[in-house]
Amino acid sequence: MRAWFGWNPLVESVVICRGTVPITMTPPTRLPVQLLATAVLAASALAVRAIPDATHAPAISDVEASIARPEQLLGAAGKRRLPELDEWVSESRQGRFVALRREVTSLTGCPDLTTWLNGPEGLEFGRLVDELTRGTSEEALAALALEFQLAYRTTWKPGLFGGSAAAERLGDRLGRWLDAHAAAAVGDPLLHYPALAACVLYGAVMDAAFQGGFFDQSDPSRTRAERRLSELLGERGRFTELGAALLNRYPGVFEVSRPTAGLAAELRLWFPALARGCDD
Amino acid sequence: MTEPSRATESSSAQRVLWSTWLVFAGGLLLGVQRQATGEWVGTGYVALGVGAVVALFGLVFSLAGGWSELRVPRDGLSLLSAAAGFAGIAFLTSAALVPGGNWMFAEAAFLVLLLAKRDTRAAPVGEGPTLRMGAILVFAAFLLFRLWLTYQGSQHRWAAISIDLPLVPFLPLDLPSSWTTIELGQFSAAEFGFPRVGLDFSSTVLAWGAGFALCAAGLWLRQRAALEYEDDRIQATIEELPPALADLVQRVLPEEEWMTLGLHGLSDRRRRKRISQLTEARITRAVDLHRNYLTCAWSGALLASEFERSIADSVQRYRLLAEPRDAGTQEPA
Repeated sequence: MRAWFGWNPLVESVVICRGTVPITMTPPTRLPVQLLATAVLAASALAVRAIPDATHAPAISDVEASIARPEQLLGAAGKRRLPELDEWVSESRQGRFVALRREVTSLTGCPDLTTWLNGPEGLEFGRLVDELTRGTSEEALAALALEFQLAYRTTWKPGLFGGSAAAERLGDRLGRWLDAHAAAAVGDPLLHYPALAACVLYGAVMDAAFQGGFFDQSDPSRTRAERRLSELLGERGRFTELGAALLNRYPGVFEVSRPTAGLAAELRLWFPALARGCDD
Repeated sequence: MTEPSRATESSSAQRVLWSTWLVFAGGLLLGVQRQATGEWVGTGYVALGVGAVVALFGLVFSLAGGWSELRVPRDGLSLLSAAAGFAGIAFLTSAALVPGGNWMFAEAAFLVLLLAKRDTRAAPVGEGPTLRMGAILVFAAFLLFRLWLTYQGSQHRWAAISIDLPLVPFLPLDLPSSWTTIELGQFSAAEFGFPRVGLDFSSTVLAWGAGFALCAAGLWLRQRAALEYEDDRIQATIEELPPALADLVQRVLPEEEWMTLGLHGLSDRRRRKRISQLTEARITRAVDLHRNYLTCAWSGALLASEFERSIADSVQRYRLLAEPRDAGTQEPA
């Protein structure tokens, strides 16, 4: 009975499925080893192409966040959950926080952000958000949620003829929040995703400030934003933990010429209402 | 089979194996890139897939009008050699092609045309796709262009060329950089399959350069080894004959003509039959010629030109040589 697979050294042939394939003209003792080496080399040449990127996503603490799904507070529908934050704000600021969140969430008519911030409510907003930013993680989240809600309800995108002051102002406020919390937020289950969202909004806002209107583009805005983002996120090959976390969640950010443009693209994808601008 | 031919055959088979190893070792190096954090990661299958398509179309177009020349590999080693030839071209193409955009299609079409122009002297079709030296140079040029783009990407410049407009900087305006610079050939990291954390250009270019060199050298060696291996198979068939007959056949069918006579890539049975037919045809022709020479007659008075006289002299000399020695003829001058 003929074998299904084997090596016949006398006639220097390989038997495969009862058929004999002659592999002549090499010493029979070496040939199987050489063929095996060839097969291993060929398989390796194909297999190495499948080695995936080794990303270094920082670990988030296993401790459960004190507020469930904190990133929802930053969405367009986040105003419905804003009252949950009341109990996490210290008693001395609680009353002011409740009044301010009601004020911000009831804004209509898309006022200019700079104009509103310069008004009496805006000044109080600035003071309280600064205080909250310096407070606990929950208070920092409350501050960021207020910034996002303000961005939803005011006009900050430059018009056709420019005027990037509002975008600059919003970017500056977000930048200060990021400077205070971004680095520590990476391992914090409460602030991890909100910090990433803050980065996205910051980059998009500064991109809008740079793009300006058709007749008014601002290189200083871009320079400032890119410097801050470089400090916060690092660069290709030298990412900070926040940068690696951002890359892990928003892979497209660094695939375009400017990181701010990449962040603006992510804002359009994940926060379309913010990207469109206020349209009340 | 005699010992010397056995030794020759063994070395040609070894060369086929060596060329295969060079091709796959090159493919191994062309399949990796080093990311900026130091890890080696894969280059993915998209480029290799495009390379395989280019190799396949190149092979198919090279057969256009010559399907009768198609030969299939006749043993395991020939099959391995053909597979290495196909894989080698796929590897080279995957390394040389810009992996996205219009450039890729333009380059791929050009490479298909290049591969379709088959060197009929290099190898019969059954021994896998062939690569001329000119084609290797074109591949090298494409690789250089790809490396340039890769370098630009590793420096976060996502365009082939950035041109600063010469007059704009002199204008007394604070214009954004997008108004003062023209970027040609923009691309993205995703198009190039760059690692997300960036690319270590120096290590990657070293691996790709070495891989390209190994692969190209392997393909070049494979073509020669495949020819030699086929010649050895024909030699082995001829040596199945008794030594005197084998010697005669080798005189009638010189080794240099084996490929043009269509002896490469045939099965054992068809090779024996073809050798037999060719030998018979050539000997018949030689005998006919011999008879014609001996019976050729002319009038010396009609030989007007030097050319005619020289041809007549050569025929005369042939007659003197062909006639039996015991006929008392003299050696020609």
